[in-house]
Amino acid sequence: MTGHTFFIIAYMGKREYNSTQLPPGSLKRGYRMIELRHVCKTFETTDKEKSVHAVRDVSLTIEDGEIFGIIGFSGAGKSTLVRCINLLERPTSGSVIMDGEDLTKMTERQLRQTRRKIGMIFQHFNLMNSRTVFDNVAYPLFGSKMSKERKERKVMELLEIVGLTEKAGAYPSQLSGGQKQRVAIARALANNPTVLLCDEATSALDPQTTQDILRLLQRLRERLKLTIILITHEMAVVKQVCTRVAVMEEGRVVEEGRIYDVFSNPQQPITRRFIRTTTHIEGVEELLKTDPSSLGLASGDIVVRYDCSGDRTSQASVSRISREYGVDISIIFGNVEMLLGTPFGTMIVVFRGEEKAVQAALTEFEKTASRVEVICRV
Amino acid sequence: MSELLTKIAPNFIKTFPEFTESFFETLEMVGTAAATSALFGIFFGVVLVVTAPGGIMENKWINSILDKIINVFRAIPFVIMIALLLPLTRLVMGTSIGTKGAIFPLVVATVPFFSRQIHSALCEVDKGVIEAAQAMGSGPWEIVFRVYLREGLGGMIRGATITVVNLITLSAMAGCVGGGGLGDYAIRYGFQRKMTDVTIVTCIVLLILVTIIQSIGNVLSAKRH
Ligand SMILES: Nc1ncnc2c1ncn2[C@@H]1O[C@H](COP(=O)(O)OP(=O)(O)O)[C@@H](O)[C@H]1O
Ligand SMILES: [Mg+2]
Repeated sequence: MTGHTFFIIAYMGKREYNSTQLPPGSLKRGYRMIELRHVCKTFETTDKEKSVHAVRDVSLTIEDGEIFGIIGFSGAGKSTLVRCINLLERPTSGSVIMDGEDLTKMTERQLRQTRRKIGMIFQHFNLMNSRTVFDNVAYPLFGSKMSKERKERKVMELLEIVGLTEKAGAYPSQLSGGQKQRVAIARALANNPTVLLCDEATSALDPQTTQDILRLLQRLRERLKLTIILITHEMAVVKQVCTRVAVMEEGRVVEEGRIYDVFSNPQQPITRRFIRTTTHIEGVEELLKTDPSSLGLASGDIVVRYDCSGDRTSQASVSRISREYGVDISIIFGNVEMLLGTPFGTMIVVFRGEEKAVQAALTEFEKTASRVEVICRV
Repeated sequence: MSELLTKIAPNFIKTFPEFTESFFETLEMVGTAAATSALFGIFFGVVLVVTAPGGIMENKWINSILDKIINVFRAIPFVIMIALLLPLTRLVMGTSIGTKGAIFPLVVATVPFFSRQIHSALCEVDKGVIEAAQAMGSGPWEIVFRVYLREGLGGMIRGATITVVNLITLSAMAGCVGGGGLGDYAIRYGFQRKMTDVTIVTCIVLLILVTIIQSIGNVLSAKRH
């Protein structure tokens, strides 16, 4: 059992959303920002047998104002997929549609123009070491019709947004990792993009700096109405900022959905593995399925998983239902996650008592939860 | 000072006018050859990098042909190169002797060498930075001028330093075959007339020249972040 306590579940009833609504903070307008249609990318080698199918038939729709997460282990094809979005990597087949236009059908010139509207940041920042912070941020403004003064103002504005005005004259080698990523973000925003691609943008940073950068990204999304696509191998990052997530494995998107749904009800083994990296619930369920005796369960016991998030009674309902229906309900596991800044609680409880009463209690119990799942009947 | 020099290097003082003339000939040969080679070397170095597999203007044919030509020219020893190039030198420069006649083979020998130096300097430019530039909508030419040639400048200066030092050595060798310059001077007086002091002083002067160039190169390349 983790150190989380149940009173957290009890007081989180203030906010409301359930699995059919988008989590708070999302700017759903139903507008399709980016559509990937059957995107495939194969890296040919001389030996056909050994060709790498980095992305296999991926179709995704990313809506305006989302922070869309793509999670997968190393080599899953995440970077290749995200590079297909701005066509740094030309898809072997399929199309990439942004704002209604198919990027794969554009001329090089049009494509370069479109890329200015898609900012990108990287794991290793990719700043130019021979340029100062100011000049790095000014780099993409070259050739724009702005006057010199306006460019200068724009650069300083961007540096202010990321909180680095006093570092304008510094060189990248004089900055910390977090500061470098901030410069990279400012640079990516120079041409007022509508989309920001982040390829493992926090993977080279320590946990504290990761938090800072994630918060900055969230702020930017709201302030600049950005759509953000965030690639990561860390579930902790996804659950903190993403409105939706796609799980990638061997070039395919194996699972996709709103962060709440994916977290509360993962469908694929790989998704469970990722969730297990930030919570123990999956491990407890596993234990129950493989070795129920270890938890001292008696015959006739029903083990139930209870998810709740929003305006639901929680701990109180356990004792109330227990009293009303005359059944024993004991909590053997409890956990609270913060999903997009909203608490999401999970309990594993055991029902014990006369069969009919237990059944009625269960039905009542379901009404109080976002989701109830019977894990096993002993 | 001059008295002391007269005592320890009498022949050098005697042939001082020839020395100055040769010295400036060397500067002329090295300077002209370096400037010309720089132009071609940077061009070919850039072409090698951008046409390489995965490069910003990938072109298998141009890349492998250029690569092979450079290797062939680098494999030919300079003395043989001078001899092989004689007719071409006469055609291009109007003469095959003297400083003018030496400059052409010097350029032909240096361009492949410098192209390689540029190539390896540009290869060290972080691929991620190139990718970032592409993602920001930069075209290939913009990337060449605003990223490669700028980010790779430190390495290019180091390569240029090695190349100029190499050129000085080659120019002295060109002297052996009638090319003028300090090499010629050292051979004519120091070697053929057994004026050892002339040889020694020439060596010292060349050493000083090399040291100065190396120091300038070090200072310039260190300035790059
Ligand atoms: N340019 C390339 N040439 C050949 N294979 C590649 C290339 N880029 C990526 N791959 C391969 O494609 C697969 C997916 O890589 P990548 O997209 O970088 O994965 P991830 O970002 O999820 O770690 C890997 O097997 C990788 O080796
Ligand atoms: Mg990657």
